[in-house]
Order: sequence, then C-alpha cells, then structure tokens
Amino acid sequence: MGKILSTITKPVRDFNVEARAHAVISKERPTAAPRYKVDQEQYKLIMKEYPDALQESLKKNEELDKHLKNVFLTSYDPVVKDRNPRQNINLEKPLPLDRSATTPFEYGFHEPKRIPLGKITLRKVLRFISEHHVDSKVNNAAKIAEDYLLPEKTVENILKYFKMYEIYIPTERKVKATFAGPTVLRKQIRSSDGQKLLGTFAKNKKDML
Amino acid sequence: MSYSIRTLIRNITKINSFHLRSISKSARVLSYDGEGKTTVNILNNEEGVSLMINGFSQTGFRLNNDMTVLGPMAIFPRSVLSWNVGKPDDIDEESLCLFTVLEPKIDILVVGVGDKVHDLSFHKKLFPFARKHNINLEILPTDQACSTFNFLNAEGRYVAAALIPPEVIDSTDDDVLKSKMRYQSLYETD
Repeated sequence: MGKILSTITKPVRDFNVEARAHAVISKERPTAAPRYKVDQEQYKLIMKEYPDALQESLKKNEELDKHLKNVFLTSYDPVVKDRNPRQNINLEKPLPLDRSATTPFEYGFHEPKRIPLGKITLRKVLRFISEHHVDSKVNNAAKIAEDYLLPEKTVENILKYFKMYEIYIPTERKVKATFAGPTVLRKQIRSSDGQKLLGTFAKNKKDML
Repeated sequence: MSYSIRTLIRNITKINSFHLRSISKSARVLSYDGEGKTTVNILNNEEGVSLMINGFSQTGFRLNNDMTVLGPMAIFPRSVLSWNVGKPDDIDEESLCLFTVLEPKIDILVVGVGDKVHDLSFHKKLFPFARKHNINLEILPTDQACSTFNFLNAEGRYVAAALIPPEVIDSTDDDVLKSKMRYQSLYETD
C-alpha cells in the first residue's frame, strides 16, 4: 500500500526539487536548525535571568588571554638507567645473546648437558649398542652398565631387544649396456619386438654418427 | 565356474600382495579448491625433513631416505634401531625398556602392533607400564602408527615409535603399480 502511495506522491514531492535545492545551498548564511522545545525553554529562561551573559561571553577577556600566553611546554628525553646491568646476570643461567639462526640438532632434539643418574641420552645408547655389536665379549652388559651408570638389568634388556642395522647395498645389475637406457630391458620388448627395436635403434645410431 | 576362478584369483592376489602400501593413499580429497588454487606439500619429501616412514610391507618399512628396513624397528626423530620382537605379545616392559631410560624424556611413544588388536587386554597390560614411567603411550595398528609418527615428527616433537610390520595388507592397484615401477618390473607378471 505504501509503495502505491509513494509512486503516486513522488512526482509531487520531487517537483522542481533541483531548483529548490540550489536555492537552499546558495544562501550566504544557512538558516540554523530550530532548537528542541526543551532547549528553547532553557534558552529563554537564561536570557531572562542573565540578559548580559551572551554579550559578555562573546567579548575577549584580556586577563585570561594573558594567562594563556604565559603557558609554555618543553619536552625532554630522560636517560633511563640500564635496568639489567651486566654485573647482575646470573652466570649459572646466562641469558641467550646469540641471535643467529640455530642449526637443527643432530638427533632432532635438544640434548641437555646434565643427565640425571639412571638416565641416558639416545646418542650414548646408540654408541654402546654399536660397541656391543662390534665386540660383544669385551663390551658386555656388565661393563656397559658400569661405564654408563645404568642398572645392569636395563642394559641387558636394551642389548637384547635393540640392535644396530647392517647396511646392504644391492649390487649393480649387469647388463650389456650398448646404449643409454634403463638397466633392465623390459621383458615385453625383449621377447616380442626386441630385435626389431634394437635393430632400428642401431640403425638410427649409425645414421647419427 | 567363472565366479570361482575370479575369487581364486582374488585370493591369490591377496596372498601375493607383498607390495608396499603407500601411506599417502589415505590423504583425503576434501580441501580441493580447484585447478591452480590448491597446492600439495608432501611432508616426507620436504627439504631438511627428519626421518619418516614412506611405506610398509609384511617384511619391513621403507623410510624417506630411500632405505628399506627389515623387520620390526624402533624409530626416533633422526635415528633408527632394529627392535627384536616377533609378535605383539612380546611387547612388554622389558622390550620397551629403552624408552624409559632416555633423557630428555620422549614426548610420546607410538607403538604399532601390526594388525589391529581387538583384544583390549593387550592395552590393559601396557597402561600400568606407561603410568609407572610417566610415558605418553599411543597403541595403534602399524599403518596408523606410521602416519602418526610422521606427523608428530614433522611437528618437531621428540617422538619415538616401536613398530611391528603388519601381516595383512590391503593394497590398492595404485600401490601395486608404484612398487612395480620402483623395482622396474612393470611388464613382468606375477
């Protein structure tokens, strides 16, 4: 309903709207918006009780102006004392001073300097397992337990259940390599069209040479 | 008749499925934004990455440094040891002894028990051990244990895993193809 009404009344509302707008904005002093009713009454009341107040506030007060001229601001940068002088640093727990990027750890984790009794780092475990692997009679569980300060039972278990690997590198496959290609001829090519393919290849090679 | 032959063939392929099942298979296709908008980083192949498991078979594991490890293994962020156990029943306080004496303490110990253990008494047996030594223990089938270890290692945690190769592997055609390509025997028939 509202839409229908607005479609009807809009042309009437918009009649000559641009000219009216221009008339408003081309005024030298814009007309102030009317006060609210409450404010209007307050204003009237003040004007009635203090008729000179408005005129007084518009005048320049020489006294106050002089005070304002006497105000000055200066800024300065105070030297702050070093709160952490070097002497106070705890030498047992020095703070890190090196800001360069750290290299990754050899075993992938930080290894502490101090190891509690009955514990061991992975590095040392790997060392004694390999020592045992090399010579199991000399480096037996009792000796390792004494050297690395571990219970003998624990060392026995570690040596029983954890072993070093031996690396086997497969030997190169021996192929009559007359041309650069895969080390193993594909079975299918070899069996069916092998000779033909090889023949054409040799021919091409000759042509190229 | 044809049906029976087909089932027979399937059985044979199951028995002969000694192909390494690649772990990357389980990566999901959920977050695909369209061509040119999505990139994939494979954790195992990134530069400077620590030791990870690329695949496993009934006989052992393939690591991301192109090494194939035979039998059960104990793997650490950058080192690997052979683990001398045969079956999940061998996993006890004695065979996990090494992980209790390490300093710094390992963040988490992932135990891969091979095939899935349905019997919860196995877990119950290990929990007192974990509580006694204050070890965070994760008992999983080996396929899940491998990927768990990889992720935790990629995050830079001090993770250790003790893994037994599984006895049953359901390999996909893709896995079969990849292992044949690796051994350059693509055209050979089984």
